[in-house]
Amino acid sequence: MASQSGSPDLISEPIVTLLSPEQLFARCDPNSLPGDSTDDLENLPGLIGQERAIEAVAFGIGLKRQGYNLFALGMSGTGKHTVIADYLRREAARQATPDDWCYVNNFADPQRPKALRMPAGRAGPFRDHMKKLVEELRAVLPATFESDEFRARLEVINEQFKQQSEQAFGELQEQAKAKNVALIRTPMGLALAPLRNGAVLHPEEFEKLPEAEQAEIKQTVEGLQQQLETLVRRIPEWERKHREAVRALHHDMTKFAVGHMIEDLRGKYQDLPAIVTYLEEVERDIVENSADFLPQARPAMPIPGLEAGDSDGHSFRRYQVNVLVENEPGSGAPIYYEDRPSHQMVVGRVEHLARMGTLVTDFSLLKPGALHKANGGYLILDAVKLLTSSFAYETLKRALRAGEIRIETIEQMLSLASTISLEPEPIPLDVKVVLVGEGQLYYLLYSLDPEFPELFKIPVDFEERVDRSVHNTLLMARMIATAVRRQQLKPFSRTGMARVIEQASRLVEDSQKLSVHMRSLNDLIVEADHFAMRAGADKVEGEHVQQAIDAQLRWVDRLPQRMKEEIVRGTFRIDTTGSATGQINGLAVISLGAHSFGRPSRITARVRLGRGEVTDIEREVELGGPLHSKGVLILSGFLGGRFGGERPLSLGASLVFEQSYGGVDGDSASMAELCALLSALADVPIMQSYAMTGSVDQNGNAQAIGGVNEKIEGFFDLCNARGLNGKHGVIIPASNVKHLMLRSDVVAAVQEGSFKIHAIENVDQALEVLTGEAAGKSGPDGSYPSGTINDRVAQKLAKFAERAAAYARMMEREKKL
Amino acid sequence: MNEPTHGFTVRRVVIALESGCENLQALETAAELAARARAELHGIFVDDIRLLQIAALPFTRQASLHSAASLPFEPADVEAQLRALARRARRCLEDVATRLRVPWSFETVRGDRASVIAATQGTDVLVVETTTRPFGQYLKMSTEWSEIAITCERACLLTSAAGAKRKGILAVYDGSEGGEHAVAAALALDGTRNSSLTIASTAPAAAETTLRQQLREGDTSAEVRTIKTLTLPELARVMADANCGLLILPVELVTRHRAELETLLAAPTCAVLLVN
Repeated sequence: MASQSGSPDLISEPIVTLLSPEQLFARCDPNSLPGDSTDDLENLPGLIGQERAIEAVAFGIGLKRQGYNLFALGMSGTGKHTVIADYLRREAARQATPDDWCYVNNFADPQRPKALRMPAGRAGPFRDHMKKLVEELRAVLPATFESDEFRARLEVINEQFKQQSEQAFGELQEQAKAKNVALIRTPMGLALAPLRNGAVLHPEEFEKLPEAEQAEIKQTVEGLQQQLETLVRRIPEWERKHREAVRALHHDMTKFAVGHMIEDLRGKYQDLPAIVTYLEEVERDIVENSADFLPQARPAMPIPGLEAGDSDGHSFRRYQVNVLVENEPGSGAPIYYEDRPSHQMVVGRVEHLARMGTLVTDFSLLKPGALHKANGGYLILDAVKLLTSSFAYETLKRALRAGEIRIETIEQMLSLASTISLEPEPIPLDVKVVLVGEGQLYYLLYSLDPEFPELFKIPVDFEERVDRSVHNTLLMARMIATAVRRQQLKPFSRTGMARVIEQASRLVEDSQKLSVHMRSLNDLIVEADHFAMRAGADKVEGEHVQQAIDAQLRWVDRLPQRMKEEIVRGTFRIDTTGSATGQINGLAVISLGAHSFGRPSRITARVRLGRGEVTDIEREVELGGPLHSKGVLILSGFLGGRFGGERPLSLGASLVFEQSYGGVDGDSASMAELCALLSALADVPIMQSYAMTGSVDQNGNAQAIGGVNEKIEGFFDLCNARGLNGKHGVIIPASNVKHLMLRSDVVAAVQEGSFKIHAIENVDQALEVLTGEAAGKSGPDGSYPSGTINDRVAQKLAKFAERAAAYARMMEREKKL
Repeated sequence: MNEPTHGFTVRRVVIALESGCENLQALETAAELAARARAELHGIFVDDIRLLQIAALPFTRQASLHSAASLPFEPADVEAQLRALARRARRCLEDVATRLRVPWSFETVRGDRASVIAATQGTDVLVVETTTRPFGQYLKMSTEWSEIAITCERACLLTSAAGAKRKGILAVYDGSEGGEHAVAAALALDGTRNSSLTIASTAPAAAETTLRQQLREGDTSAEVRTIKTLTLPELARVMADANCGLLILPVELVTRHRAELETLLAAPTCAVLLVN
């Protein structure tokens, strides 16, 4: 289809659209920067251009109302964490230190551990005091129970009981003996037997006795039997009283031993009524369970897993203090960043110990979550991590809604657990949560989760770029100085700083803006320092920065190089010389990771008689996206508007990206497609030494597109590989000129005149550059000057219309016949 | 069968098992003694004829130890209960003997305690339970075995739950032949018990000197303490000093000091071995 018709030499170029080298790259003059190097510049506190975000942070932090939590939104790497953390650090230092929190045993209901609150710095000592108390009791109580006093008193109690029972049985035995009756132990108990000559009366002898004597013996034995039964019935009561007496003795001895120790502690914590109450409960429990403090007999054959249990202090765990949160007095409000915001890490967890093949737990195994650690201060969470961790977001919302931290498992939260587990007393929550995430995530949450706007009322929107004003340029220089000092790098010279600033514009594809994407800039600074170090330079110069930029590009250049190679080899056909009708070089941008590169594409258009339809082949085969289809429909609209005013458009046209095997989307090729279509209609060849990018509206005006730098550089690289001849160039929308921050080799080629870049306002300018012929302006009657491109298009469409009308008449006649 | 050691020979350890006793502590003691003496353990369960006689009387009942209820006391029930208890006693004996790897045998004798004595030989050591605890922890009733032990002309070990953890052996030497046997038994058991041995001497000075000489020659580490007058408090003091877990007494001495030692024998605070 491409023909080498037309002679480029005869074309008079419309100089008004040609860009000068200065328009292609906004240089940063090193002499405009202060000092000789970053050594001469002050540190920059905070970031550049984040005034809106900082105002939002200040407002959100200052407003102590429920729901005024923050969502810091912005592109990853813009320094959101740094800004938030820096601000919070300053604020938190001025604020009161929150209280400490502990969990202790609930002696009345161990399943529901009690939360104790105390001023900052007192939880640790309290835990130590309780630990010491238990250690002392373990030493003191056994000694108490081995003391002579205890033994003596116990002996008295035992003796009293023994005497009581022995006396009762002794009296019965004596009474029986006096009546010639013996008390005999039987397999089931005790029985009374009449004696005769010291031996049990034989039944046969009994039968031989006179009836009166038999009756007397019987009466005697039955009487004694009643006494015996009465006596036996009294034994449990005696035993109970004995146990009570022994318990009372233990109680007295323990209370005496424990009392003064608890009293000491009570004195230390008399300003904290909750602690005093707890200590009273501890005292009561120790007194009631004093036997736990005595040495326990170990089983002859210890059961594995059990031996480290009770005998080694397991029962004393209930007096432990589980310090959940311990703050240093005067340290200000806490700022806590949770890197793994799972359900358990947010709200805390209940850990378990394996014992006898089962998992057991108690209050001492409660572990704090991020909310505990940040309580009274600030909690920073990564929104993506929070949302991708099962139930963590729900957990956080529940806590914020309820205003309390309730440690519970996911099963408990969802009411799925049927086993008994701990239900710790909830702890009041007073925290500002700062979620950090991409803007898209914020908008999604806002629209999809009705609770989100209620709980995260303050959006902290971070800028990704700022105006490239003199002020911001100087701030950027200070930012470089700050990064250099923080990371102990070599100082950057003015040329080094200037090159970083220039690259900051390139990163945002705008010569009038500066990127504040801190991660990218910091990477560049660090890598430039490395090149300077390798070169043995004292300072990082512009050339070192350029080496770092080139290296970054080189590392990701494998695929673009492969594509360019195949174009040069002719596998992919892209003409860069000669002219062709209905064919133009469009430009696409391909993004691979963080890197984007431009790739030329051959766009062709064919026209024929038809019903006014422009067929988008990409769309027909479902390779074209909606934006591309929209672009094609817009150019159809332009065609109809400009040339179909008086007669119907009777053309059929088809447009295609040749050798495109992937999807095509976006409207940045619509201007090129329109030019190819008009070229085909007017039968005017397009110079293939040009490539073009830009979208078009229905009036034929050029509109800005993205990736203009990469697109130009992509075509430049291809032409350069084939050999620049002074006729190669790229046409871009005029509204994209401000975005130009081209590579130095492209700028140099333009400077030398071996490469051109045109900025056009509309399709007519584009056609004139591409064809070297006048587009032609319509006169008052709507006609175009004869021989101009538009005239030839109009003539062609008129012919199509006449043929269509003739065809319609013929069909009408045939129909009548 | 073991070899005589220091003149004290144990061929068989016989334990008397009864329906009215707990038996278990006595069984442990008997089996341990048999193991140390490398002797056979023989259990004799007494089908107490008296119980059957009492049960045959028309008006007798028994007071249950567990419910304090008055229960019928019929010969048939007693027979069944005695059989069950005998089986249980046999199982316990088998268990403990197997555990300590002691050869064992078991028999049931119908009659009274004299029947048990009749079933033993002169070289047997008879093990009996001196007290029983029908109720709770503190009320003890004497089994009255000590009475029989004194007169049975057998070496007889009166067991006691008390003092089981104490390791010391205390033998009382009165200069008599029985006293020499007591010392011999103490030396024999001391060698197997890895315990401290104390000999309380009530013997005349000459006999005590001879004893000391013999002990020195035998290279034994026994401590000899002189007791001028054997009284219960004095004996209790020496027993406490010796951490006494086994007291060995000559029967003759016991017979002589019957009144003084009756309380000790009725409810001993440690095991007591009576030797002839």
